[in-house]
Order: sequence, then C-alpha cells, then structure tokens
Amino acid sequence: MQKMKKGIAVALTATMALGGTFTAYAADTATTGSTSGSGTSEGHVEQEVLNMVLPTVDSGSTPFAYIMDPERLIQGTDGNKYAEGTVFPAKDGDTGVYFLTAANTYANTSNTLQAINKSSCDVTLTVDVETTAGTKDITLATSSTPSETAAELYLGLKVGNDTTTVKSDKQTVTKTVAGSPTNFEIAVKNGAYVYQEKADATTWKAMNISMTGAVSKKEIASDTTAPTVNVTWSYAKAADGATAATDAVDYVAGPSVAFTSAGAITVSGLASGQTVTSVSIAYTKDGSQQTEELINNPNVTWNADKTSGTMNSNWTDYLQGCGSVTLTVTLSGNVTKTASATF
Amino acid sequence: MSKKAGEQGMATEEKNKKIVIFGAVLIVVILVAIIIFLFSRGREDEPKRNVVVTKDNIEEVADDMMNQDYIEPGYYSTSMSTTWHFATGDAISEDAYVANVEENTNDIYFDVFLADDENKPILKSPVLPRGSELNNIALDVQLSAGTYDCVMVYHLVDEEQNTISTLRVGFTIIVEK
Repeated sequence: MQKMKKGIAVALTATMALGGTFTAYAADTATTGSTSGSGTSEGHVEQEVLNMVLPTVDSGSTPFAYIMDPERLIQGTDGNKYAEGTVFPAKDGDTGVYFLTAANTYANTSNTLQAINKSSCDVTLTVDVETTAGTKDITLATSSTPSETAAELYLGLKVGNDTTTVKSDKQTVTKTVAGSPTNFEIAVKNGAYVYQEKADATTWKAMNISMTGAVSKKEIASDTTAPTVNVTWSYAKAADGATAATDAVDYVAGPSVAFTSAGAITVSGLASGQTVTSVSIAYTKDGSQQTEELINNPNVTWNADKTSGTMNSNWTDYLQGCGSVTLTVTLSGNVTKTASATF
Repeated sequence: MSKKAGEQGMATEEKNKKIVIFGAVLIVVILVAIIIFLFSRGREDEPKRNVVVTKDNIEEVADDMMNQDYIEPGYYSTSMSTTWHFATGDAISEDAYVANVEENTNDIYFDVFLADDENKPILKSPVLPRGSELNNIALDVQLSAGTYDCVMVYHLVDEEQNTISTLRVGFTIIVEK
C-alpha cells in the first residue's frame, strides 16, 4: 500500500512537472475565426458653390444708358448751358457719345462694371448684347470709327480686354472666370456638414465690363432715335479643361475709392449704414505740401450721401503740375480709403 | 295737417334717397380708386430711351443732364440652378431652385420667359425675401418636351414691391416628355 501511494505520488508529481511544459500545438490546418463590427459613414457634403455677382439696371433705365450728340451741340456751347462743375470730355477727341460716370460728369466710356465669380469653381460667363430698335434709329457702325460721310453710331462692349462691336443682332462674348476654392471651408451647421464661404474671404476673380461710344459728326434728322442696348448674362460651371481667362481681375470686397484727373470722386462698396464722414486731398504745390478738406469745399459738387463728387475747373486747373494727388476718404467705423490721381 | 305730414314724409324720403345714392356713388369711387392703386403698384417705369441731341431739344437735354442724379451701380448675388429639368411640362422640377442670399440688399421676385418670346412669362415667382429660397418649382405654362433657352428677369424691390432695379440671366429648361 505504501509503495503504491509513493508510486502514485511520483506519477502525479511527474505529470504536474511535465504537464506544465507541454505546449499544445494545433493540427497543421488553417484556423478560421471571425470578428465583426459596424461602421458608419461620416456623410457627404457637396464641395462646390456656384455664385455669380452681376450688375443690375436701375428701374426705368437701360444698361449703359447714353446720350448721343452727332452735331456736337453740347461741345459747341463750350458747356455754357451747363451748371458749373459739369464735366465733359475734352473737345479734342470727344466722340459725341456720353455716359454719366459720376455726379455731373460725362465721359465717352461708361463706368466699368464687374461680373464677380464668388464660386468655388471656375465659371464660364456669357454676355449676350443686342439692341432694341427705336422708330428711326441711327445706323450702327461696324467698326470703332464711324463713317465720316453718313451718320453712324458705334457702341463697343468691352469684356475683359476684348471689345465687341454692338450690332442689331445678338453678339455673344464668353469668358471663363477662375473660382476661388481657398475661400471656402467645411463647417458644421445645425449638426450637419456644410461647405461655405469663409468669414474672412475678401478676394475673388472678376471680369470688367464697360461700353464705349462714338458717333459720326454729321447733321441728323430731328426725329432720329438711338437704339437701346440689352444685356443678358448667363453662366455655368466651366467644363473640365476650360482655361480661365487671363484678363480677369481681382475683386476685393469692401469699400473702395476712385479719383480721376478730371476731378471725379467715387466711393463705392459701402456696407449697409456706412457713411462718408470726411474727404480730403493732399498735394504738393510750389514745393509746399498742402491738405484740403473737400466735403464743404465750394468748388466740389457732391451728391446727397457724398459717395460721388466732382471738382470744378477751379480745382482741376489749380492742381495741374502737382503730380500725384492723394485723396483720403474716411468712413464711419473709422475706415480710411485712399486713391491717387496725377495732375 | 295730414297733407303737410304727407308732404314732409315725401321730402324726407326724397332726402333719404339722395343720401343713399350719394353713398353708393362714393363707395364706387373709393373702390375704383383702390383698384387703380392696387394695379399701379409694382408696375415698372417704361425704360427710358437713349437720348439723341438735336437743335430742337438741346435746351431740354441740357436741363436733364444738369439735373441727372448719379446712382452708383448696384449688384445682385445670384444663386440658382442654371439648368432646370421637368419630367413633363406640368411636373414639379427636382433640381430647379432660386435663392435670394442674405448678402443681397433687397427682396426680389422673378419672371421667366422663353428667350424668343419675352412678352409672355412662363413662370412668375412670389416675392423672395433675403435669405430665402424657392424650390419645388412648376411652370405656369405647360411646355412640350424639348430644350428651351430661357431668360429670368430678376426684380429687386422695395418694401412696397416697387421695382428698384432688374437683372437678366439666361438659363436652360429641359422638359423630358
């Protein structure tokens, strides 16, 4: 019995010692297993915004409204019929077609308007221009130099750097304006992802548009009419591979000031409620630096909100030879903008 | 006495008749005035023609030029789909939309015309305040299957829905069946 117990004890001991070192090897076949887990999609947001800012036409007016003076009657009076401060093009070179470009200021070329691409993608912009005939319209010229033997009117629509002659049938100008994807970001709004314009986005690409006119210096019938210009815009996301126009310009959002050597002052892009609080010019005359306030200056004609003003000849003649003259406009909110003109 | 009373009664009746007739006429006049006022609201000024200076009108033109107010050009930020698809001519489009983004300065409405017939709108929208959008659009005029060049004329309006300025934008409508 004792021996048997010893034997069992030895066997158990050996088993315990050896069993601890056994390594169980699986049979040499592939094992299988599986695990599972669920995944969710974070969602999709369309990363594209298509938005064009286009110029409007005042009610009762027409795009690029103009006055046509074939007989040069306005220049013939040396402007005597007009209020002091009314500015016309210089007699030499005056083409007889006038666009109102600032308060009491007329020029042979309209103000420059802009089509601004505030999209994340390139946009192909199409400008269709055609005329609506009056009862007895003057003949439209086919080139920028109207006939000298018969009364003709030339109107040229300039889009970017390209000018198209306006005709009675529709003329189409197409430009691809680059988008500004870096002006956009993905944000979360009301629990959802949105692709939106950044709050500090200010610079975009734009295409300049203006109209130039010229009319033959010829006597005309008193019932002669001038054609009305109609402009229709259209745009679409640019096709893949379309090349952006190189004559687009930068558009910077916010107020801007323009000042010309004809004495025209223009303040534009004001925010709602923003006003002009002061306007001054700085110039050097006979070696002496001068600064003059203009809002209350009797030789400057202003519109009601001081966003458009014209210096009369007392100023423009006085500034001749002063070189670069700097105009400073202060807006409410302590915003200052400057522009320069060379006299 | 009774004859006098009778005469007085007739006079009163006559007077009452005149009052009623006057009242009726007054009501009609007021109604006509209201109707004229309502129809005149929102009507656009006829666009001015470009001016031709002649010996006959130089004085008038000079006066106009001196008194012409200069208004800074206005702008409108367009946000719209530029191709609208309709399953049928009387269906609601699933991809047509027009938004008046918050950055714009005015409420708007728009009229849609076929490019070759701008006398008859095929869609007249309600007024869209700033920050609003119109979708689920159906045309007012049923079109046959085809692709149409169209013009949308935006009207920027004041508080009384009078048009302040306009903008013409071309786009495409496709009717599938």
